[in-house]
Amino acid sequence: MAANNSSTRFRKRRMSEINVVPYIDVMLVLLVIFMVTAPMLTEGVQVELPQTFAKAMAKDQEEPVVVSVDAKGQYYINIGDNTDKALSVEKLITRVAAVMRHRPGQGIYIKGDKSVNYGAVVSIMAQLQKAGVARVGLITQTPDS
Amino acid sequence: MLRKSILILFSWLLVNSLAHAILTIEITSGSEGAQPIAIVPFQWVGKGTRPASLKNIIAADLQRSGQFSPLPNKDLISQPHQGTEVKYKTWRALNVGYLVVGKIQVMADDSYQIQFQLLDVFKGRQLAGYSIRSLNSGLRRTAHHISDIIYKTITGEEGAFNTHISYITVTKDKQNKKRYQLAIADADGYNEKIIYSSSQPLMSPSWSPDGTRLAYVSFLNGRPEIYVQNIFSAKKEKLVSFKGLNNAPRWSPDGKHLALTLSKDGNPEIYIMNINSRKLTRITRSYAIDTEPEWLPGGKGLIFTSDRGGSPQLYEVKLNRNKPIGRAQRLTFEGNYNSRASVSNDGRYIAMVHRTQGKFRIAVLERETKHFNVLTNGNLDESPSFAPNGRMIIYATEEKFRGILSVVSVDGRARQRLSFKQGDVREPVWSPYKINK
Amino acid sequence: MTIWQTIRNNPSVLAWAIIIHVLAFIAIGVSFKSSDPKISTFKKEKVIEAIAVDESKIQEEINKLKKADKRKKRDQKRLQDKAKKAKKDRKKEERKLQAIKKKQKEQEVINKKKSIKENKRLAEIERKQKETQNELNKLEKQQQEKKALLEKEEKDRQEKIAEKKRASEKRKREEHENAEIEKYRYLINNKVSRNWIYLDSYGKGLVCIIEIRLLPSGDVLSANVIQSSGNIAFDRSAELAAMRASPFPVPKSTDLFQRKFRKMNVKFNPTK
Repeated sequence: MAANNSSTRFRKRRMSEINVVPYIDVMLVLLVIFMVTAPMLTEGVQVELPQTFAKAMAKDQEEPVVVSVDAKGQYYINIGDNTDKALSVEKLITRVAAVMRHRPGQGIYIKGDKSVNYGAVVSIMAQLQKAGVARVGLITQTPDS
Repeated sequence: MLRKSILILFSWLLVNSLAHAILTIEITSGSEGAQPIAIVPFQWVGKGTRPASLKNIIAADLQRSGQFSPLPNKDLISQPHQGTEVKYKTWRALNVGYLVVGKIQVMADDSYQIQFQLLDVFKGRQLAGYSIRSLNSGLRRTAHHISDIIYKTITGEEGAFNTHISYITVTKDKQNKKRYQLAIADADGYNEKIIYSSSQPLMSPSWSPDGTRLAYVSFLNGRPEIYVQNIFSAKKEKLVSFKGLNNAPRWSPDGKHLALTLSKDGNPEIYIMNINSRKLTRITRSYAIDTEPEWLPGGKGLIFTSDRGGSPQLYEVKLNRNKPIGRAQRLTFEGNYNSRASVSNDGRYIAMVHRTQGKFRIAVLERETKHFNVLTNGNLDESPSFAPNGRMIIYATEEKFRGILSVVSVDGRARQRLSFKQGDVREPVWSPYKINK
Repeated sequence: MTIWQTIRNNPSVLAWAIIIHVLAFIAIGVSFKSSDPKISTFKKEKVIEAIAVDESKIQEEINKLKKADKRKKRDQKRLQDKAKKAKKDRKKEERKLQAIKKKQKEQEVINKKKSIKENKRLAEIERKQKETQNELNKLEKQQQEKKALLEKEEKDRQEKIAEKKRASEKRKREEHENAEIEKYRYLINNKVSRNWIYLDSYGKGLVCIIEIRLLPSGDVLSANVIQSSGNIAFDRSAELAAMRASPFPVPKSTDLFQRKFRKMNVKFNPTK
């Protein structure tokens, strides 16, 4: 009994010190969780997509180049500076053309708002084709059932 | 007990990982080419006009090496100035492996604080990052220094951008008389400084291995004599003046000897001279002309031009403590004219002037494989000289009846002409790494 | 030291620690699955694509299926034939038995006729009769044994066939898997080769091995030199080629991916 008491006292004295090992342990786990979830927060222009049932297209580039057309008919692209600001068609095409020079044959994706004028999408497709884009993909959304 | 369980756990993990043989894919071919690199123009923070564009200097340096192909300006669709502003997605879309960003901060005392970062685009991380203080006048050198850092980081080899070249220019003065000038400049031809000027011809400059002195041939007394001049103090001294020709000095790697051509005994022969004692050792003995000696690394031999076989070719003689061993061996067998050897720092390559179809061009012989490669396409290319890292060769060529300098990479992939405002430029020699100022 | 003492004094602490860690890792594992960033961007958004399919190929596929069906039918028929033969054998035996029984009956009639006259020999006849009975029993028993044996043989044969079928299926699966591995090995080789930029002037006889970790989508998670060529420029060009080739073409089967493609080595050897 006495031995037990002494050991308890001994442990208590030890416990009064700050032990940083569990802290590090917990922090590391938290770090891993944050590292894993951080890339999920992807940025992009808010575009309401038309809904269709479509087959998925095979992706062959790590991060696809996406041209967005919002409800007002303004253009955006997800590469270069100021990806959240509307761009003139010329500027957009220079960016796409630069990509096509270094990744010939690369597909470009178009993300058009469902309320956008059909002509706006077709005209941007034509412009892209002039810039050397051989494959254009239209991004749609599967209807919620 | 606990130790045992840990052991079991580890062995289980080990067995698990080894359970399946790892798939190995072998790649045996790719595309030969220089690595694409994007260099974004540096941001200018502060007042005053912008001096030379660091971006352009660095891009030209890297391009000249033949190892890199900088992205053209029109493809720089994003202009970040520090690592945190970089969107790697953009650069991956451009398929470029490396990215250089930076800024120049103007300081109160007319100096600059230059920050730059070299980034690995596909791994999304920094490979090198420095903050360098530079004087206004030293901005170009700082740019070369940055090029050297980039080059070293990616290739593991020393760059030779922050080095110098020496050459002879011929200009005409107001009386329409020719003036011969010994000049030194940055490795890209900028910041030219004339260190000696004469009305009589100058020839064959050669750097001392510590980069402080130049030996050259002057006709000041009507015949070729060899002088040595300190490049900082401009103090010069006549070193060799035997009767006949005193030609083609080449400083030995240890800095204590000169290899040279003398005709004091009749026809031109190669000698080695101890600079302190002025003692001569005769290296060649033939009835033919032997000239243009060049040292092998470590002073283990000399390569020289000789017409003993009927046409000018390169020969090698081995040395032991600056004494010749055995007979000279012929090195070149391509064509009927090969002269003026320059050996790379590692002894792997010999550059020379090679005549093909009546035209003089720069060629390179890879010693081990005997692979012979003509690198240039001019009519009168001459005086090749290796950069201290053995990756580039500077040579003189002719453009519109005027001598200019060009740099070619050792594989002949990249050729860049250096710009000179005036005069006829010839006989370039590349400095060693160390040039103490 | 304190940790060891704590554990020695109170072993349950260790158990708790292990449980908490296991839970934490399960949590991480779950979030890994749901948080693949490259997939999540395109989870709901799909891209229209038209696919042309060669009709002759379909026909070929159908023909193949038909052939396989025919072969199966033939096998079945052979089995049935065998079973029929066995049945016939059994019937023959039974017929023999019936003949014996008939003989016995005849004997009985004769016995009855003779019973008055030959009372004395009744016992003997009875004994004979018993003997016959015994013989009969024996025969019947033998027959049963034979039948059991036959059944057993039949069962064995069935089992053997099934086993053979299983083995061939396994072999087929392996063959299919190997073909799949070869296909993707070729595709990956192709893509990495296309993305490899290097210079001969880096040096002669350079070889390096890059270890690559992939996400199930084929995206390269990491590419690291595990065997250097000794030339930094060469190693870097190889590493870059692997990164540039992302995403790698990988098989759709998650099982095959996990076993063979999740982690692989790419050897860069231009000397060959």
